[in-house]
Amino acid sequence: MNAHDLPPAAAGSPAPRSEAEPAQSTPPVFPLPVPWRGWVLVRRLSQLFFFLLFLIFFLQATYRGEDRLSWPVDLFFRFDPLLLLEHALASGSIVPRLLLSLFFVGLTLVVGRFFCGWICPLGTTLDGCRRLWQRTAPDPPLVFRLRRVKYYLLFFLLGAAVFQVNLAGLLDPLSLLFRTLATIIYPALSYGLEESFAKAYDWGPPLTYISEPVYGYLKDTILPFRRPVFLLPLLTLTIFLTIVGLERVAPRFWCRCLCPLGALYGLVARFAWLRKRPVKLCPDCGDCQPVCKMGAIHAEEVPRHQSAACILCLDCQEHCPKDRVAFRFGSKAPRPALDLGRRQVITAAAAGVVAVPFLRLGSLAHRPDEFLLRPPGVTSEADFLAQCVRCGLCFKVCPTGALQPLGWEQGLDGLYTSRLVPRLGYCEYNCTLCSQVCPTGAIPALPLEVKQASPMGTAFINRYRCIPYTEGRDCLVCEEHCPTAPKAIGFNTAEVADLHGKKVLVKLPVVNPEQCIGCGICENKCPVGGEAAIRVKRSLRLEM
Amino acid sequence: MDRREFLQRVAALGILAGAGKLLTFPPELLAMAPAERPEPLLAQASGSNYAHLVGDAVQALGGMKKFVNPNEVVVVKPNMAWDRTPELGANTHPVVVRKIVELCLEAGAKKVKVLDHTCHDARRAYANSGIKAAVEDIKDPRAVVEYVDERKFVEMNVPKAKSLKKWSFYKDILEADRFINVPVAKHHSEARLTMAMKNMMGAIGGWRGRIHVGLHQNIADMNLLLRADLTILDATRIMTQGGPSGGNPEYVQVKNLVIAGVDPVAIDAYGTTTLFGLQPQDIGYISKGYELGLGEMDIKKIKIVSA
Repeated sequence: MNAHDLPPAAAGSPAPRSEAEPAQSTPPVFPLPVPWRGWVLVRRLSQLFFFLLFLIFFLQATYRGEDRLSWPVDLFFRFDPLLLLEHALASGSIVPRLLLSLFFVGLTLVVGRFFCGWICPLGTTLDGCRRLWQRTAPDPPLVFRLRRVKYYLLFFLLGAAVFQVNLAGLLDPLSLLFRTLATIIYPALSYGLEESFAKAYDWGPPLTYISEPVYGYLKDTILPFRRPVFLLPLLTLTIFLTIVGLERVAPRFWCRCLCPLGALYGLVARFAWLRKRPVKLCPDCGDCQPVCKMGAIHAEEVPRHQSAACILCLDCQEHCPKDRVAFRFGSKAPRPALDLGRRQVITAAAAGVVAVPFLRLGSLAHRPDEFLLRPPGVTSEADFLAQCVRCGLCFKVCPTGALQPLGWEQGLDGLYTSRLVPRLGYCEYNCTLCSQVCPTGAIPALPLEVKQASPMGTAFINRYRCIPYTEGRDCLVCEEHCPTAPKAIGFNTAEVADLHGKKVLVKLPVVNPEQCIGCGICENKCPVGGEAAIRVKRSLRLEM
Repeated sequence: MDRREFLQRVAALGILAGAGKLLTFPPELLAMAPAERPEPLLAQASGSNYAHLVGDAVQALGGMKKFVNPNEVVVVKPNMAWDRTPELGANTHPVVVRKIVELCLEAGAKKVKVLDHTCHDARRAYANSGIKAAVEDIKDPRAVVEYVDERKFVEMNVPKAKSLKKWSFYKDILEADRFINVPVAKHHSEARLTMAMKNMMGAIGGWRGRIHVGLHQNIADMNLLLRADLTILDATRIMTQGGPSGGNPEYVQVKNLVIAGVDPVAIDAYGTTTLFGLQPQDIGYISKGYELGLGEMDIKKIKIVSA
């Protein structure tokens, strides 16, 4: 512990650990019982359990032979009051299934930020990654000053949400982790494994006697049916590695300083009924201060435990050499002030409001992007942007890999929102999985018949690329795959000059825009390489 | 285990693996033996119990034991390319496929693999065609429904081919002791009709869209390599328009027919006239298959036995 890290009063009591020197004030005396030592293990098991649950739900978000998913794969998002609040502000409606998060808010009011310490899979990821290196240096003082940044971010997000800009998903820890898993970690893992087993397969026996059963087992359990590929891998990786790398600056840097969900739970936890005893740092010891990975025992002249920062990891209880630390209900000790001024709150929220026009200008300038397709059933770009939490569940569940994260094309407003990229995958006509998993209903849950009649765009044929038009040879792959009945792609038999100038009769494909729903299977299957000869444009029947 | 020992073991394993690789056959050897021109004899069964139809048609050709010997590996290749339910007629009827698998098992097959390289997502097509459930319902461990494994497509030269001189074909089909083709009779916009020969599109890999330019010759060419020991055409119901994917029950006509034979060209020629009222020479790949010596397209020379 560095003395200069502490406020003057604490620094004035040098080396409080030393047994030789008498304490300056009387050490607190607490009645028995001594708290149970197994709580830290229980907390770790809880973290592990919810992390594995998160992974299992992640793996279950896929087509398994049933049109309806039997697992509530969006369960973790229902623990997230930030998404509920942002959605309510941005779109003016409440998502019923997100109301479960209110239970977590209630529980937080009783016991504090347990979600961050016991459940949050990103928190667990960070705790796990931190073990990759030995960290002994004390937290730099900057970390304590940056703590308020998360509140500013929260109020910024809420301020922007009032004007229909819902950026919560960019920073929400669950969205961030899920889309990182879905778009880079899982694809990289499956690519690596598939390629390794393919190599073993090429080598043949006797290696395959071992590798093939293992491969078969992995294919049945964790490997995807088809290898996923997603856009924006480098940006996603950079963001994720930055968050992990900040662990080197201070443990749980993300949770302490940046996480807006942590901020929201912190605001509630400030009034938590369950509190650490002693609230003040004991003058004769102070060992729990460096142990705390959230830096929760800090601030003021005499460091006090802040329930807004505490994530109930119970490390302090575990490490207390004098068996004094315990968490007890109903302490009457005065609460430390939140390091957050009213003025800063208003400034942050106002900044969020003021940012709206700037953010929107970026996307409005690009609004008539004719190849930006949204997932099925989405009719209004503005409503979609107000509701999408960029979690990546639809990317993961889409059986053809058609749904992809949007890059900077629409500015920050659209970053990581879901788009349909037909060259990478097409919308399966009989599939509604994306609408089933969407936590906020940004992709509306429509009956199959309605979804099949909802246009995402309209195909058009580029006659300068299409084979029958340019070479005078039959093709019709697009027409063959068109799923609507009657087909939106038909053909006219007409005379065309072939490559030798000879007049030949060929079947020339044509699109009937009234029938076309823009599923993109034509663009996906078109045998013309590079840019397909048939492409899906944003429908004229959709708002731009 | 010390480091030296570890390295020795790794080296030994490597040599073993290398030796194993040398022992495997080059893919060309796996190709089916080109048969002499098959006998243009077809069996036709009619009725509304589709399982009986299959049994009767196969019986009229001499029974499944004539085609499948005990302890052989059989690949049954229905058309289950589309995420469509059976009543839409885009895929082979599940009852037909199930019966064929049962007959193979009765004949003593060691393993019966049912597979197709689909157009829609394979999981959806296998499920909604009803074929996966129908075959798994037999509850015989020898009968398996397998998804296509991309690693198993092997590049093959096609001798005698006019256009498709080299393409990737599915190894399990080439390697199988017996190969039974179970197409469904359908309208097809580009090829006009799809039955036996066109069904081989689901036995090849590569960028299959590319095959659609010069489609008729390509279909005939791939049939040089993909020779089915038995073809059973499902014409229990046929799709008369909107093919190959269809999607409207009104496109489907009930015919209650199953046609079986060894000669794929004869089956296609006969189906063209009896089911769709067209002439065999109207369909490009039938003429081109005939020219390649794959079978008989002259209706007068095709012998029909009614079961």
